[in-house]
Amino acid sequence: MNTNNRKFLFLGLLIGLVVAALIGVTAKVIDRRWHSQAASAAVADSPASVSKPSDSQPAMNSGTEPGATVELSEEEQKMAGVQIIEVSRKPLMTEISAFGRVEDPESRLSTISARVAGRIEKLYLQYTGQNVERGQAIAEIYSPELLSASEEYKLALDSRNQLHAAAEPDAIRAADDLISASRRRLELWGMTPTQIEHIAAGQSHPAVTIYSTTSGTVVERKVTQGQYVNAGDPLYSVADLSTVWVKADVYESDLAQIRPGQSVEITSDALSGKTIHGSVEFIEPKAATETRTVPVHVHVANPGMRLRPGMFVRAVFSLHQENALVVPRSAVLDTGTRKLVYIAKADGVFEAREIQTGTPSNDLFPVISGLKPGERVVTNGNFLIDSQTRLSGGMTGLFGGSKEFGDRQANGGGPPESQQPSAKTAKLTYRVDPEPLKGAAPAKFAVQLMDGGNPVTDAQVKITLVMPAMPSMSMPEMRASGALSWNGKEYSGTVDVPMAGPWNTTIEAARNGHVLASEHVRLTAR
Amino acid sequence: MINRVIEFSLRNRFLIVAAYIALAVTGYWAMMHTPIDAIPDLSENQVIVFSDWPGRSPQEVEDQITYPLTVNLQGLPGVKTVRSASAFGFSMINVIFEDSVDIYFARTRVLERLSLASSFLPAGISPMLGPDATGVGQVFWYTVEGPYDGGTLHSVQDWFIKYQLNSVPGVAEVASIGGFVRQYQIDIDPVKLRAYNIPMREVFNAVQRSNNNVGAKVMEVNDAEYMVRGIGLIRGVDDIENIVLSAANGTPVYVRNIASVQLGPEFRRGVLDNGGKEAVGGVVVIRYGANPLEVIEAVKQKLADMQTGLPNGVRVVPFYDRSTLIDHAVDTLRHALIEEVILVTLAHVIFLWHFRSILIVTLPLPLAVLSAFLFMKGAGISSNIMSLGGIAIAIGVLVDAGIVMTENVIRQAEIFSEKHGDYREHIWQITFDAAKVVGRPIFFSMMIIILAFIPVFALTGMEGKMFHPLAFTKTFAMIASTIISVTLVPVLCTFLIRGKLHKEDENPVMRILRAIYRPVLGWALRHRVLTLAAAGLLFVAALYTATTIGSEFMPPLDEEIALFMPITDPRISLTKATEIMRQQDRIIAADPAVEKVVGKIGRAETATDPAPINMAETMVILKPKDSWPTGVTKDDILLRLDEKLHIPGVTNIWTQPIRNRIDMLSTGIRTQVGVKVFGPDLSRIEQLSEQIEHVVRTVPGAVDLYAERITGAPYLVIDINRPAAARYGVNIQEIEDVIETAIGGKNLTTTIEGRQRFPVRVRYARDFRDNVEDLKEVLVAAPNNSQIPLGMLADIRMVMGPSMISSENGLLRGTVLMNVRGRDVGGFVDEAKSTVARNVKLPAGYYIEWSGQYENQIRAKHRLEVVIPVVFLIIFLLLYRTYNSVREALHVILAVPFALTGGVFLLKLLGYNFSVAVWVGFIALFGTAVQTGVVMVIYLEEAVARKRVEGALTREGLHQAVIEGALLRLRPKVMTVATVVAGLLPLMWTMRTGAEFMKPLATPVLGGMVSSLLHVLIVTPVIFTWMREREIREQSQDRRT
Repeated sequence: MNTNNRKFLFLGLLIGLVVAALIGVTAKVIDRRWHSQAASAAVADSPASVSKPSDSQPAMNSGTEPGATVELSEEEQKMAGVQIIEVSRKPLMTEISAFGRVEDPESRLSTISARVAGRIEKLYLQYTGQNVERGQAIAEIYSPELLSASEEYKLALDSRNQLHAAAEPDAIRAADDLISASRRRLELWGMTPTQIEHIAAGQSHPAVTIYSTTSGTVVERKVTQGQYVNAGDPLYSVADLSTVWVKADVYESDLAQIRPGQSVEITSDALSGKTIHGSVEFIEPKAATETRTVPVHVHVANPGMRLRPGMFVRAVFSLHQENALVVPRSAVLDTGTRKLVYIAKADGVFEAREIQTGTPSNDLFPVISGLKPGERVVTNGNFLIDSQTRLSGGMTGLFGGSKEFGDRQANGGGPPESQQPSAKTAKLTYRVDPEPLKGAAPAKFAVQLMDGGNPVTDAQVKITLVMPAMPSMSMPEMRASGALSWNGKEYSGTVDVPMAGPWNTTIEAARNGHVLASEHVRLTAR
Repeated sequence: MINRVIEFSLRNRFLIVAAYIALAVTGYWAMMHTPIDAIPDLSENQVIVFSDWPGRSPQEVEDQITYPLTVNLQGLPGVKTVRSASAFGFSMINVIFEDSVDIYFARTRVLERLSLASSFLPAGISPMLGPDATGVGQVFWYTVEGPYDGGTLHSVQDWFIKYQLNSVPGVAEVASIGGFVRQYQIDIDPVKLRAYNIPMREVFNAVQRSNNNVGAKVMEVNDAEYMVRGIGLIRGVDDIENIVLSAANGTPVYVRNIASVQLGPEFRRGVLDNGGKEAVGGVVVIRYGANPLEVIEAVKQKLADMQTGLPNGVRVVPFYDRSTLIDHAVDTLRHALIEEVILVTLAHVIFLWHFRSILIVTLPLPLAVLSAFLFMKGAGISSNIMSLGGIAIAIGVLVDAGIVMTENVIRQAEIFSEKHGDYREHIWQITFDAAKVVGRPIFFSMMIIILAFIPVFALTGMEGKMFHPLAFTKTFAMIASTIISVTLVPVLCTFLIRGKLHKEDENPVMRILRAIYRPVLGWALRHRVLTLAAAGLLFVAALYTATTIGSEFMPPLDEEIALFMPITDPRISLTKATEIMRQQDRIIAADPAVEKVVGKIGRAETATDPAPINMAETMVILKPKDSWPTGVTKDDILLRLDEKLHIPGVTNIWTQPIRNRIDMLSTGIRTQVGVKVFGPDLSRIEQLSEQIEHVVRTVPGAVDLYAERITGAPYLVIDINRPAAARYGVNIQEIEDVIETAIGGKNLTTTIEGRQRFPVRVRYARDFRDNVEDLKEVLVAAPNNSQIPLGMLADIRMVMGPSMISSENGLLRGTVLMNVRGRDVGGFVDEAKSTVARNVKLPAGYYIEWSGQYENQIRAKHRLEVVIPVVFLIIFLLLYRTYNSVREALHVILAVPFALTGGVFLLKLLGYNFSVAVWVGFIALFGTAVQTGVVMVIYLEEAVARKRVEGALTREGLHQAVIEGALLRLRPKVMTVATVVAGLLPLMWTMRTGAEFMKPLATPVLGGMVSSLLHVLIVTPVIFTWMREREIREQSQDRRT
């Protein structure tokens, strides 16, 4: 190899290195370019869409911030199944349900007792649960005591008769006293005048029939036939069950809402679907230590004897609240820290509002604050609207999103412009080239702004493109923006579209921070 | 050495022929038995450990299952990382292994550890391995249709179809989706529970103890043995209703007294929808490495066999069948290959005008392809668009070596017959001589092409998995064709070059080309500066053009089926999500272009499907393309559908099934840069992530910043008030049992009814657990037989919590995702790192890690930085070895930048973006461009040498020699380029499935070949002349001195 050749060898190596470097650099450039697209791989190739943008709202991770608004077209409202109801005052019913037992009415219990000691000869009421009428014969008691008393009476009568006229007045009086004393004794033992007449007539009977002093249902039979009883021993307990007592066990925590006179609905399997209405009669002063409940008495009429003591029932106390401001339960979104409703405003704008509510009734929430009568709240589709506020603009809330918007709000940026529609006076038209947009390429925007027929030339026109984050795909939110400048004819400028896919695009024209016009469109880049 | 090979082949012609016949046969066998799939499997080499814990919140799952499992699974051999996710009701751990680790080895290692780790888990939890398949293995989806309710169809699917299909060889798993699992439901009325004073726990015990069969050995009766069975299994609703709970005073209290019992749907986390109607279906997941086409075929066969066994009217209707796509893709490539062969042959005929020699050129082609298949079979590479594409783009080059060889033999024969008359007697010698001349250059130029493609192997990650099969097949086909060109081709030449040879001048095409070429080359030689300047300018223009071309990750493969994936708020209920899906599916189904639409919400019952509830996956099967109105594309249809599908709060995403599977299962960070924040406390991690997001925002170049929000799912927390519980004497377990069963419901036992099994569940009746107020009244039994409402024992409140908890290597993980635009990623990361270090103070127990795609990028960059210069050096050395001259080697290498020029221009013209595929195309071009230059220089050298023989070389003589040599080279050169172009054109014009994948690959080669043709024909001779002139001048100077 001669010198010349060596020179060429060096030259060759040099050129080789240069070419290698060149290719390396190109590789890197291209490498970087496609890598920057790696994240978008999932959607870069296909058309996709994002719902209509609106003004971005800041949100915390706990959910949507009150005041967030979202604008939905009629079509979108239909798709979301949005239903709206006017907030109004309605009587509100709060319910407390408790478990209860049917018990004998304490005030209508009576006992039929033996007034005379003796042996029970015959029982006319055979079993517990038998109904008994007042004056009905219930038992016959063979009472030696009674017999002797009868004899005594008879004797007294006879001796009185024997005394006749010949008697001394003292003796007659004594005999009369004896008669009336022994008669009273019989009377006190429960002999009826007729029976006494019978005795007087000499038909002295060793047994005495006992008649019921009350009517009702035998709740307890305490004696059996042939049993000896002492005077005063109870024979039967009788309860009048035309009215029964329901004792509902109310837990301490619910007690505050119970007051006498409150109406109560009683249901039981025995009523086969029927409801009996009663009212709170009395709240027991003591809690039952075993069950940790306070019995609340409800006295209910018991036609047809359907409720039987010992039965279990469900008692529902309803608490009427006259004309509270209410919203349907379905209107309220509970984020845990706050309750939100969506108010339907004009032109398909929905606004999130935080409300305070009381204890809910069946399907109504009483509103303590946050709503006025006549405001229209969303009762169906509000979940989707709420999700939409998180998607829109900043795609805040759950999906993270840009702090930029949050900061603006925090720094006293005031409510978003869309809430001041009156400010928008100008008319905005735009063109974009290429149409449709191309991913990873610049797009030319041209905007014309007309105010009452005259073009506006001194506005600041800004384009913002936002693609929401998709956490399930590990994709962050992407955005691009650019300002347009006045070129004597229209506002024009370019914005780099970072990648193919759907872009929520906002074109906003402002003068001195005052929004003249804005336009939201979804542009899909191919 | 090459010459010796050629000589050996020529001397043992029959041996060679026999060897190649054998090769063809085995290659054909290999081709028939290579697994065929649509695209390479891009998923990571991972083992999924999946644990079900129904009804538990992510937090419980994380603390009690995921964490103990993760820490135990670490430190296995070959494990790259352990990533995990705890979601509602299940834990999924991805143990990611190095790609080189055998999947079955990995699975055994994981199992080994699991057996130990299981002892740390709550009772009743058995973690299981995901199927030995990847997510891409979901090859066949079907619905089970028939006039029955969802429960019955699900039973048919679960207990009949599923197990039958699972028995098909190659099927790893059959998972059910949709419908509902039947369940015996005991809905308790708490009022009655109190009335009878029966605590919940007694109900569980009673039910659990009422479902068993026993055996009691045997009894001998009359010398025979009778087996004794005690029958006590639940066989229906009646049996459950009549379970006795207690017998107070001899009055039995039955389950039916306190509850209503019915057969109903189990709580579910997945819904399938067919055109807006509830459906039941299944998915067939094929085993790792199985042949999808074969398996699908077998599955269909099995379904046909089973049809008679299905209940009356039940049909299995496939809605996703990968084999269609595979067939179409393979069909596309087959057509392309056939067209390519025809075109290549045609080019050959046009330029050589010798029909017999067509065989010489076309025979090596299938042989090279078949040996590539042989290699694929051996290396376990499945044939798919990419690996077949590797062959498709190499076709032109494959025949090239043969063409050069044949052309030279024919030319030598022409010369011979001019001088000595009939050449036929001497064909052996002519071939041998001609082959010797070009043998070495052919061998080396093929080596150059092969070597030049090596940088593709430096690709890592997903791109690597995508393009390695292509690189392998292309390389192997090239090696085969190189060997064939020096063994079989000369042999074939001796057999097939017969008959009348047409001189180049007699060929009209060549005459025209020569007529044009001669003056052009003459002009160029006279205006060297202008020529070189023009070439340089073109190159600079190309470099500029390159900067204006957009870029994308990968050209999409049209999978024919669209996947519509609306994503909603993570809070959404299954009911609402289903409602939205129905609504959308009905709209999609109404579109005239749509054949069928099947939507899925939540998970199929397989570990390969981690889809959350807020993400529906709807397969939109379009009618065949030929039924669409002309001019309408798939994108148009999807765009039209999308317009109609706007629901507020729903983000619509359109993707494709395979693509989506890959995306869903890749657990790594898919943005360029990600900051992982590790630590023990989620809320602290979230706070730190937000801080980092805030700080990094100030670093120039950061775009698309996004701190992943960890919280976002609403929780209803029942926080037990311990003092209150203590006061009532209730222990925590009692309360929790009630929470779990009364509110959540619990499967107590499973009935055994023949082949079918249904769970028995106890829960409060719906009315008693429907809202927060009701929950407060759920009763807890206290020891003194009183029953205390839950509201008095616990605070019930709503809070926001994590919807899914991710962890990595045993620590909880939060991420901040970002991309970098407008600056170098490495520099950005360095700056961001130091900014974060300065501004974010990490508490003890927390640390951050920077990761993301840029790691791959940097790794690939580092590799390329070494590989590309080394390849260049090797090529240079090879060239030097070929020419024994540095100068020659050098100006051959100059062909590369000029080849790039054409590639860039064509790319711009056709509107393709830069992508990995394009880049791979450029790498392929690169070798081919060098190779085309190689032969040209040989011819020029030859011509100059001939001139030198005639006398001292003058400037005019040199010019003459160059033009002469170049003209000689015109035919082989044009032929080479024509065959390469012919070999790629079919890819460019086809509109079939899979072609869109190949086009970006072929484009740079196509454009580059044309520009390199111009370069080799015009610029190379000019530079050659310029260098030789210098030589002459130096020599004359030497002579003078």
